[in-house]
Amino acid sequence: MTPSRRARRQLIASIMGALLLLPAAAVAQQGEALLRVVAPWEYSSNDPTDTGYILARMGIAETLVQVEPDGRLIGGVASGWTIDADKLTWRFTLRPGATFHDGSPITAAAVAASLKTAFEGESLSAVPFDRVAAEGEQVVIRTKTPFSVLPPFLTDYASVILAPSSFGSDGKVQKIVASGPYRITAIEGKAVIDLERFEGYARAKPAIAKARYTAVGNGDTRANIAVAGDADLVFTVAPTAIQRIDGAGQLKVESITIPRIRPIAFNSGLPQFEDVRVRRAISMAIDRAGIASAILRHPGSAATQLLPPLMKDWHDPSLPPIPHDVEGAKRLLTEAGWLPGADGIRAKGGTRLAAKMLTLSGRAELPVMATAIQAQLRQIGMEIAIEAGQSAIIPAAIRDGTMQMTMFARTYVNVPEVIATIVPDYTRERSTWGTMNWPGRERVKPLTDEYVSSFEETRKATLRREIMKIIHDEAPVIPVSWFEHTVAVSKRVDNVVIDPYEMRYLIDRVRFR
Amino acid sequence: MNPIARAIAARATQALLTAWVLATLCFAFVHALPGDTALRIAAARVGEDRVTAETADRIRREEGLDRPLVAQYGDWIARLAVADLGRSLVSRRTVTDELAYHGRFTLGLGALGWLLSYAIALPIGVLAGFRPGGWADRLTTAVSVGIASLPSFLVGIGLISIFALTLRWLPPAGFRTGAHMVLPAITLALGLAAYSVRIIRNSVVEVRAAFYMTFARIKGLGARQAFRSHGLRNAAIPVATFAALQFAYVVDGFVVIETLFNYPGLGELLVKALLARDVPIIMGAGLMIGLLYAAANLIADLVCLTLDPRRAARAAA
Repeated sequence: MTPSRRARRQLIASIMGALLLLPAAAVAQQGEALLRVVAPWEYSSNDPTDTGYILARMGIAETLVQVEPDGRLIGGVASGWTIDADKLTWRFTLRPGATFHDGSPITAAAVAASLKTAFEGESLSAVPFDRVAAEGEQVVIRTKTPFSVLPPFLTDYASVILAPSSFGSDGKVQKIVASGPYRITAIEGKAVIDLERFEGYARAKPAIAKARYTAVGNGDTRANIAVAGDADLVFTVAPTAIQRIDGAGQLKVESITIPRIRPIAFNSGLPQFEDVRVRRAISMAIDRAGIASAILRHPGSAATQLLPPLMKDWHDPSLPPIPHDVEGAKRLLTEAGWLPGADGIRAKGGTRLAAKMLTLSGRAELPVMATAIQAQLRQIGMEIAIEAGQSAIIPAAIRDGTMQMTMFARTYVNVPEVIATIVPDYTRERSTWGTMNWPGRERVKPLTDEYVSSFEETRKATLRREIMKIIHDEAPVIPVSWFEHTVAVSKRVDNVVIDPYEMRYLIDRVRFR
Repeated sequence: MNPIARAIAARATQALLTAWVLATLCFAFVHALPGDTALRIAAARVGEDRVTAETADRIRREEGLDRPLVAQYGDWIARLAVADLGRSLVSRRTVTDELAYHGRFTLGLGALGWLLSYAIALPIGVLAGFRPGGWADRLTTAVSVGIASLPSFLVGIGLISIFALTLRWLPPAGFRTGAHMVLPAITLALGLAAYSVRIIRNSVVEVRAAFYMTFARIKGLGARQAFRSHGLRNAAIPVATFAALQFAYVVDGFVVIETLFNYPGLGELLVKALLARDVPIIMGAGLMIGLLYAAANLIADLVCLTLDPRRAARAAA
């Protein structure tokens, strides 16, 4: 054999050997003491306004205040807080001895500087912010008007506290130096973040030393990863994949109902939708139980009112559940003067009971649900055309005034206080994810204004009931289903807590069995 | 000027013009699409649930999207003159960094898949070409037509089902280890080999029927020796051109495979940029793809000049 031929054969043998060893390497990797977390969201930038939720969920960064899965507010970077007698000045005391990931102390001045940046963005624009400053060991936030719900607003991920070394000379975030139980060791593109336990963490340290976050946008690919047992926690599993994942026996899917809903919103200024009886009839014609069972594969997700029972303060058990009553819906429409035409579609004064419904293609279940609703509304003599597109189609249609009807997904706990969603969605003439041209907003607005300024719990409970009753009765937005937050959990981990507020993955509490 | 230098000069001029035209078309087409660019960017940055008109307005102001299109295009050209492709409107990283990061994954996987495809296609194509109409040729035709008619996602799903989900030998998705590259590389290789095997087979059949091959046999050479000495280089000429273009095709992005295997390549970057209307990334990618195809053509030309002395002589004349 010539030397060149021998070299060629050696090269081929090496390649074949490497290919044969690759599976073994992959299996070996699975055995590492590394907590592998898979979720849909890419880490696209360092700006907390964009991706702060990944930092907060993975325990990398903390907010001044945090929420427990049972809804209690606890201190995050702060250990506690008080409000002065003027009802405007809030004082947050920081945890003693706490440090950022670079070892620098968490001072009131550093926290105030970080919060100042956060208050400049849109996320906290609902806060009547006056100023934030360091006063001794305390961070003092002053509002222009009394704002009783400031602490829950401070759980917003856009307000994660970052060390001064995180910011560049232009005031923009250049790198993440935060204070959570895990710190970043490496970021690989937008898909992978490697973490290690932060040994200087002021509270209980995580049991698992190393973790990895992997962004996998495609739902089928996430399901495959769960089936193959290639992760320990896989978040946001499609309902259609649950049986397959459970059947494979590597991970088990756990789920809870969360305060995220799939609603239909109307342009209440249009002749078709200005009468509350039409909106109610549409709501009654929708077979929520059928959609929940057949499409969402979770019968418990059929909405009976705007928010699920988990939101104890905002779910009112005394409100009558939305019925599925096709004959009743037809009667309501006839009573409202909408009578069937020759083609079966109702009309009134020359206007057909028809509309275009915009929905989002990014959520696979929504176009399917829209199709089912299209058929159900046809039964009561209403015609809808469906247009599915990217999320921007809805705000664009609202801006140019062409919005007629929309179906989307909306969380009511961007912060753990529903009023933060009620105000933008139900008190404005044109809300991106709520009502449009709804006259009832004039009745809701004084109630929400009083709610955010009231410090009396009994009065706030009354206001909550009044607000929810108006929304329930007037139906400017009708809930179709609640969300199930689904997580596939590996058998090798224990103590997994699912946060219904989706603020944290609480991986610092997870242990290997 | 020698033929090689002339080929390089011609292709470089062609490359620059193609890349510029492609990037300009990208700019025109993206802006011709209906909808609000700032809203798309806002949705990509803050997520679907949190996008509002206020966020879109801020982005429009900050990124200068409210300026006339001519001004935006002029700004891009001015930056291009100093080799600055700008920044992504979503990640705010430089376009060069984004293309380099995603490009290296695509290049790695593309090269592996491409090499693997020729490792499969060359012996099979030559075997089929030696006995046209024989059982090997008929079987190869049937299999290659079958694979070529299957969409790559079906091939990928099949491989994932067998090797990742059933046997659990390989990970179903990801990119951090060599093991993660095996299934996407095989998926890619099978798709490429399905086409190249036919090109190789036809080239071998054509060369073997040539007069000079008959002459070589009359001269007393055996079939294999005649093919090695006189047929191989001739058969390689069309294959080299096809292979270079195939490589350009795989590098400019195999979206389906990258999405299926969660592989952060150029195809994935480009699709996300298109959905988000991330204009600087789209234009940068257009520019790069234009250059890439020109480079592939140049390589094909150089290989053909090396393989075919007649062409080199014509070019020199």
